[in-house]
Amino acid sequence: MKLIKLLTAGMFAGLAVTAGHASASVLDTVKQRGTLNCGTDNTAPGFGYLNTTTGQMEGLDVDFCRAVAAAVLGDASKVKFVTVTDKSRFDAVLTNQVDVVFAHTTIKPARESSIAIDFLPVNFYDGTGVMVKTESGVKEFADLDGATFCTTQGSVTETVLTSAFKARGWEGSKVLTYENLEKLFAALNSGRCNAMSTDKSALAAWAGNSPTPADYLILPDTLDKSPFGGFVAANDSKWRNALRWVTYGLFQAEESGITQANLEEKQKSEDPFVQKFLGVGGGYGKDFGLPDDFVAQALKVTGNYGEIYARNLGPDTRMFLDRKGTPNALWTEGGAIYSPLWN
Amino acid sequence: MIARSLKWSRHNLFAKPFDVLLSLTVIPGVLWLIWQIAGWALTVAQWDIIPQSLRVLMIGIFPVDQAWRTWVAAMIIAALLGAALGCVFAFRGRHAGGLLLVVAVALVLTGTKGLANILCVAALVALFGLSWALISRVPAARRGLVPASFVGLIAIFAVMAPPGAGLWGGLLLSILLTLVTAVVTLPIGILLAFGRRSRFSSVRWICTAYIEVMRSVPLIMVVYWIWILMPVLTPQLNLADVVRGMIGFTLFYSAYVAEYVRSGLQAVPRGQTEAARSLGMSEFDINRSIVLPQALRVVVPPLVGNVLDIFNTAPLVFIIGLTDFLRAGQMILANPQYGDRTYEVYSFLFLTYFLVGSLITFVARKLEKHLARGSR
Repeated sequence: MKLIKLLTAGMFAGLAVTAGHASASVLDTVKQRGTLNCGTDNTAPGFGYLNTTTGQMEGLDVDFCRAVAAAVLGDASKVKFVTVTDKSRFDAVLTNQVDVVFAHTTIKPARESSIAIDFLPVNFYDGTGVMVKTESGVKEFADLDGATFCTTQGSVTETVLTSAFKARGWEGSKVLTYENLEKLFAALNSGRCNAMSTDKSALAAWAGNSPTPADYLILPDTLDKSPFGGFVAANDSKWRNALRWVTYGLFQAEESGITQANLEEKQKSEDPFVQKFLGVGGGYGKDFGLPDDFVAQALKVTGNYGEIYARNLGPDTRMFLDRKGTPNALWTEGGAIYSPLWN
Repeated sequence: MIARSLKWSRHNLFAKPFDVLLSLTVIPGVLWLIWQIAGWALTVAQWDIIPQSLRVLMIGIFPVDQAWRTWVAAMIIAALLGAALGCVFAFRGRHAGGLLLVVAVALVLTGTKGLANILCVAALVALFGLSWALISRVPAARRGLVPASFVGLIAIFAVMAPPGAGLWGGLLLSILLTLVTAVVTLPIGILLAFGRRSRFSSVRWICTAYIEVMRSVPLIMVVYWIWILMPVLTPQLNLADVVRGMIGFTLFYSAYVAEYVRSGLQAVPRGQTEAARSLGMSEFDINRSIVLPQALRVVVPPLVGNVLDIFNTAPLVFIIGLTDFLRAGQMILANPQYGDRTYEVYSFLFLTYFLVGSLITFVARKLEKHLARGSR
C-alpha cells in the first residue's frame, strides 16, 4: 500500500514537471496571481479549524498561512484557504493546487525523499505523551512498570508503547485500546487504565477541558517525537527559502522582543539590526524576492511566534498547552524554537 | 381496540414458541435502548450547539453577507424537487397541511434567527408546494421539466459561483452534488446503455469497457484521480475542486445508471421492436418512441434508489477537501469549546441523513406501486 502511494506520488511529480510548471518559481506565480493558495486542515483543533462564532479560520497553521500572505503580498486578506486532508495534502502541492501546505504534518525523511516535497522549519513539536491521575503518585514514565496503558485504536501510539515496554524489559505492562479519545479519557477516570497515552497536544486539551484539571498530570517524558512543519513542492529553492525565512522571522522577532503591539515603536529603533530586520531603509527581503519589510508585514498581522502560539494553543486557550519546559519554548528558555543568525 | 391489538400481537409476535422467545428478547431490548437514548436526548444532551452552528451545517463557510445566494439556490432546488414529485404524486389538499408542518419544524430550528430567515423558509416550502401542484395539475408542463432542470442547475451555478466555488459546503453542497450527478448521469447513462447494445462493435466495446472499469473500481478512487489528474492534464482550465468532484461522481455513477437502463431495455419484449420495425419506423424512432419509454418505466424505482446511493456516498468528497454535510459537522466539533458535543452533532447528522434517506426510499416505493398499476 505504501509502495503504491509512493509510486503514484512520484508519477504525479513527474507529470507535474513535464507539464512545464517547474520552470518558474511558485514565488513569481503567487506574486503575479496576487493571491496565496494555502492548504490547511479544517478539523484540527488549535491548528486549523473554523471558529463557528466568528466564521473565520483559526489556528497555528492558519496563522502561518496569513503570515506568509502578508510577507509575500503585503496583505493577509489575499490568502485563500484550501482545505486539505491527511490523504490529499501531498498531492495538492504536487499538482500545484496549493502553493504551500501548513497542516500539522510530521516531518519524516521518506516524505521528502519519495514524495517530492521540501519541508519548512518545524513550527510545532508534538510527540507521544503519557497522562496519569495525580493521586496515583506517578511522577515519570519509569514509575509505570507493570501498569495498564490505554490509547486509541489504530494509532501509532500502540506500537510506540509496546516498543517502549520492550526496550525497558517491562513484561507486566499492557496496552488497552479504545475507539476514541472520549472513551479513553473515561477509562482513565474509571481506573480501567493507570495511564492514558496519545499526542501531547491532545492530552493537554482533555485535562484542561475537564472540570478538575488539577487531577491529571502529563508526564515530562516524550516517547515518540512528532515535529510539525509546512511544506512546498520540491526543487524550488527560491520559494522554499523565502518561506523558511518568513518562519525564522517570526522566531527571531520573539527573540528580539518585537511584538504586534510594539512593532511601530521598534520600527523607529536606532538599533541597526532591528532596522534592517524590519526593513527600515533596506532589509533582507530583496535577496529572497520579497519586500524588504516582509517580516514587519507578517508581524503586523499575526504577531511573533510566541503570540501566534499563545493565541492558538497557549494556556489561555482551550488547548491548554504551556510552552514552558517543552521544545516549543524559545531556545533562550531551553526550548528548540531557534532562528539562524540574521546579520 | 384492545382486543384487536391483542389479536394482532398474538398473530405477529407470539405465534410460535420461537416467535415468543424472539419477541421477549428483542422487544425489551429495543425499549431499553429507546429509553436510554430518549433519556440522554432529553436530559443530558446540550442541543444548543445545533441552532448555533446551523448555518455552518447548512452552507459551510459560505460568506454570511452572500448568504442570499444560497437561499436562491435552495429555492431553485426546492422548485425542481417539487416538480419532480409532481410527476408522480398528484398534489392534494392534505399535502398542504404536511408542508405547513415542515415550515413549523423548520421554524423551531431557525426561529430565533430573525424575520428574513423565517420568510425564506416559508418561501422555500411555498415554492416546493407550488411547483408540485403546478406539475401534477397541468400535465402539459411536464414537457418542460428536463430542460427546466438543466436551466435550473446552470442558474444555481451562476448564482453561487461569484464568491468562489471553494466556499460551497454543508448540506447544500451534498444536495447539489446529488442533484447534479443524478440529472447529468441520466442522459450519459442512457447513451452508454444503448452503446453497449450497439450494432457497431467498436462502440459496443468502448461502452462495455467503460462501464465495467467504472463498476470495478471504488468511487473514492475515481473522485481522487479526477481531482489530481485534471489540473495536470488541463492546467489552463483550472476547474474548482467542487466541479472536479462532480465530474468524478458523474463519471462513476453514469456506469451504474447505464446498467439500470440496460436492464430496462432488456425487459422490453422483442415483439415491440419487431412490430415497430414492420411499421417501417427507423431504428432511431423505434428506440426513442417505443423502447426507451417502456424501459425507463421499469427502471425508475432503481434509479430513485440510485439517487439515495449518491446522496449517501457524497461525504466521500471530504477526500478532496470539500466540506460536505458530514465534514461540516466535524468542522464544528474541531472548535475546542465544542469538544464534548460529539454525540449531539452526530445525532443531528444521523437524523438528517435518516430523514432524507427514508423520504427518498418512501418515494421510490410509492413510485413502484404507482408504475405497477399500468402493467397489471
